[in-house]
Amino acid sequence: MIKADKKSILYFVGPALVLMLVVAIGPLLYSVFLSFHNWNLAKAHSFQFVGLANYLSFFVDPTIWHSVGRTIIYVGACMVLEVALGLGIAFLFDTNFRGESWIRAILILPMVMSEVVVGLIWRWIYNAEYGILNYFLQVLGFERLSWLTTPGLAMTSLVITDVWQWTPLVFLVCLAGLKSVPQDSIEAARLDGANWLQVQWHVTLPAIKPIIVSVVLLRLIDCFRFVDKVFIMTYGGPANDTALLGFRIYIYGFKYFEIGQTAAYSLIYVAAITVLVRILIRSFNSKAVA
Amino acid sequence: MKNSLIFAAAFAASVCAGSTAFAQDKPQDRPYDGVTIHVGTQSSQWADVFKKMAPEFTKETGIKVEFEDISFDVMYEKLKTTFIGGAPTYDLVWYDTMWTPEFSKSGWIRDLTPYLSDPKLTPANFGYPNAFYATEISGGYAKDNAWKLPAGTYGIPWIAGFNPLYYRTDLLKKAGFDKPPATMDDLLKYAKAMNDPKDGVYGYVMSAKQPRIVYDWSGYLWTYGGDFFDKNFKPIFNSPQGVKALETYIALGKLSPPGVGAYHITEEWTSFMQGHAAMAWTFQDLASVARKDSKIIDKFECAPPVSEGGPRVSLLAGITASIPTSAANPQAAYLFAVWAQSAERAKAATLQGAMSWRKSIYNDPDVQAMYPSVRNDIPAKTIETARPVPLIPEWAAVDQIIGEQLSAAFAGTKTPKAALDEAATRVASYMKDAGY
Repeated sequence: MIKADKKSILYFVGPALVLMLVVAIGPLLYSVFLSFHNWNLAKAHSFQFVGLANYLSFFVDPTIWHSVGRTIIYVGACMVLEVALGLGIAFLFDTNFRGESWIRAILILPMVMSEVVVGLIWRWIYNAEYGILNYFLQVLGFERLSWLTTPGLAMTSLVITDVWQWTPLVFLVCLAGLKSVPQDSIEAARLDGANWLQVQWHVTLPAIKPIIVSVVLLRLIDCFRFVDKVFIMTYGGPANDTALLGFRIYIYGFKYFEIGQTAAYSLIYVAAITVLVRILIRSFNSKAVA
Repeated sequence: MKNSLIFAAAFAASVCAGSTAFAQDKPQDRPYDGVTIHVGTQSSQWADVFKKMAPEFTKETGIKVEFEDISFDVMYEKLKTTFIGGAPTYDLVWYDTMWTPEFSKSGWIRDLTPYLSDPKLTPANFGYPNAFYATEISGGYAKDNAWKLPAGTYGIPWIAGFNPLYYRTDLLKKAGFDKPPATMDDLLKYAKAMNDPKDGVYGYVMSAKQPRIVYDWSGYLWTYGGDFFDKNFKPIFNSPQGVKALETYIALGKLSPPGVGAYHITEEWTSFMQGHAAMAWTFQDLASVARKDSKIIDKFECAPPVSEGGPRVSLLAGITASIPTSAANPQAAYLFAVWAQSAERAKAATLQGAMSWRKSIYNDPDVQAMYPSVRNDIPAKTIETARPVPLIPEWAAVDQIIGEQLSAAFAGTKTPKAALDEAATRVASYMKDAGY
């Protein structure tokens, strides 16, 4: 009877398992295989085993390290702003003011747009000659800015765009968390004389901490693999100011067609993100235990 | 009985013969009736013109045409991965001429020589190659050509790409000039004199977006006497001429609207046509965009490119139409290409904004009325001395490397000399790896 159950389980799980192996594990293993080879897709007979050379080149390539630095700045800025703003707006909407549902619906609109569409819209918003942003700057008596072509400012522009698009996600998730905080804990704290800030800090925030951690991790992973809007808005420029690591690896893969090198770089990148996420989860868990 | 049998047999034979004749008539007139061809095209105003014209082709031949727009920024990688994969995704592709050498050398696009010599596919009056400009950059490679590319015809010239100088006649006059600039120094002097940002007019406009910037800068490099490679394919664009060319380019960038570092040609042309810039050294079809809303429609003219004592060397580029090796319906696709570039269609397309390389349209009064770039001796003085970027299969990667460094110099994070030296070092390394 037990044997029959196991068999039927296999019948049900088997197809999904095979599918997973074919579409997820297979390509991953193939990438690992490729990463040990020098292979330019455009050149015949270029496939040869090179051992760890592709991995080592990651660590000595100055353009890669430049991109690593730019990625850290980009991801750090996005995370801080999106979490701070998302959480702040969630607290505001938790007060149940009039018209809240309408404004909430409008606020989540950017999130449902594709990255490419958002990139195109903001490229025109930032247009130094016709862009609406510079129009308002001029109306207010300021100089026009070259948003996407000034080193430093281009990165800021990308961060603003990402914050605009993805803060609503952080907001929605945090708001769902706030709505689920038990009211009796909050009322107990109030009865003990805690003010609004103390209630949020000592009761609400610890209660929704797992939710915040989840959304932070989601956004973190998403920010690291950010390529689409860079492609549309700046193409890594000016002067590689916005050449984030994902974009740089794309260039190696699809401009130079160095497939082995691209596979190795991608695997290092994935491993680094995985380690970072593990560290963050452990850090949050240990603090939670403490 | 016998007679009736003979009559019946004769009747049946005549019916069969009649139906065979009908069947034979149909293939001759519409041999690909019902076939659908898939065209991969650079997303652009030019593609839109042919999309409008395609139903007429379908009506005439029964061949349906489906288009897929591909952004210029991703077109190279999209086509290359499709070709490498070998899937019959496209029957016809329209793409930038700078990639034709790589695509032909890799065997990803077909040699159209047999099609061109087949009277069933090519009308006698098509006139290739003599009736077209720029056949070499469009994939027409002679035997033993300098670029060591396979001999044959790997593309039909599709959209023209030569670079005259556009200028505002009213602003030139206002600034006290009675003729267009003739040298690079003139170009800078004129741009400075006409630059009036407070009045909403800049002295110049360009398309310096990475990855456009190398294309845009190449004319300056050649005009100063520089080049990308020597005869052994060693990079020489960091020569004093190259540095001077980049310094001039950056100086003109400072006299352009803010943000030109993010401009593709569409933004550049729109800026000029909206009256925000006094001069633009760009492709000939600038005058085809934003015409309806333009307030300067009668206030601009064209001149041949400037020179520095030597020939007027500007960029020769454009769009090529090729048939992938993996195409499922190559003959039907070829028929569409030939149909669209016939003298009649080429003129119609040109007047809608997709300027053809067919020579006959350059003398057409209607075309000349719309495009100042084909008036007088401008095509002769521009096209005949123009130059393409190196016709090497490695150009896309080389373009990426140089573009990054030009962009750095343009943004002011590197000096022109440092940027070009860095680019030359990297290109030399890349070319060495590529076997040069």
